[in-house]
Amino acid sequence: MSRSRLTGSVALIAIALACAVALAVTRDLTAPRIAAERAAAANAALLDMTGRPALPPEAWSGNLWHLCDGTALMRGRADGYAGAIEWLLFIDVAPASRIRALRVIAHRETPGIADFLNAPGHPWMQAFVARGAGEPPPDTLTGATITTRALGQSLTTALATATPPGEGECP
Amino acid sequence: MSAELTPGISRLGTVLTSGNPAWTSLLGLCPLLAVSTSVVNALTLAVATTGVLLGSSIAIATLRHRIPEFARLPAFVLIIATWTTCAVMLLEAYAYEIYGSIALFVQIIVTNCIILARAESFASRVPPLAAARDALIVAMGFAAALLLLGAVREIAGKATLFAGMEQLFGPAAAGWEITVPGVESGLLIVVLPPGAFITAGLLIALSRGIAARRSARGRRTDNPPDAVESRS
Repeated sequence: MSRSRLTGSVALIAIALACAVALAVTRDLTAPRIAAERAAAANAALLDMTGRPALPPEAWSGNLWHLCDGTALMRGRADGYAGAIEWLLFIDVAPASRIRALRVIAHRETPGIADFLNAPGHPWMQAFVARGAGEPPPDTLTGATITTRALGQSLTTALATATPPGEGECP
Repeated sequence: MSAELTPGISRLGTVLTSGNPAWTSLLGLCPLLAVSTSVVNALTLAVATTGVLLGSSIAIATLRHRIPEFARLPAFVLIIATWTTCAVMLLEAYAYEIYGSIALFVQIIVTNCIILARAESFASRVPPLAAARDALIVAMGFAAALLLLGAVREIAGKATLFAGMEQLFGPAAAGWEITVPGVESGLLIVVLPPGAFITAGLLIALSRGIAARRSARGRRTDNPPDAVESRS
């Protein structure tokens, strides 16, 4: 390797290191705030879904949180084509599980095209409401990407696993 | 030819109108069309792009004697990608709601040809101050194109202007929204992707029209003094 190539490579490595440090510092500075923003958004979605001013203390058991009045909250993620689509469900658990409300709290599907995920009032999102365990998900929108199929299957699968509260879970 | 020969103000005027990099060379078209559905989205992307362009131009100009010639482009992309990732993290921390709707297009600032073109054809050859000035002027041109497109599409497509600004400026901005009186809803197609192309086409025609009139009047047309066009 010629001398100029060697010094050049060293310079490139130094630039890469400086970039890595800059990224680490920015991440350290923003991570707590990002986590807080995400938690706040999830909490706001829960309150909005259940229509309650406040929720009892968090009691997730796996992905299920019994509110002990026949309803429960569920959380999960579907594999969209661009990473996880994180969702929350508000459901009736007894006697048969049934969806009352649905929110998508994080996703990386194409903005503009997958905007309906952010709109709980969108007809396709509304089509999940009142669906019971064992019922198929609503038809895909266009089926052009995996987005609607993935979310539909993820919700249907999750709903089938919702069990009534165990003994002692709801005093 | 160096852009330093062109005085800053007249260069800015050119960049904002007939010589806008977004219109003349159709650089950065993907974010331009995808994000310009409303002013607040357009403004957020414009701010992020400005930050990345300014930061990378200064960094590249400062390091211009140290960046090895054979690894020029990887070094530029590395620096631009670092600034872009920082912009993404800052946006998620401080403008969470907007981040949710335009995150993808902030992430792909790294592939915005305007930024790489400025790094290659200008920032890597001049001192940091000149690079910063150039970056600001070019970023303002891109921002002007984005905001104009965003404003036109928001007015025509949603019959509002400045809706959702509170996502960026806090609760005080909630009252900034202007509704077009007497119109219940806009033309949906303007907000949809085809509307982006139609609106952008009309604005490009307008920009070309202005340029043509200028040259017809015998004025110097003042094209951007570098070869941005050939590098998309």
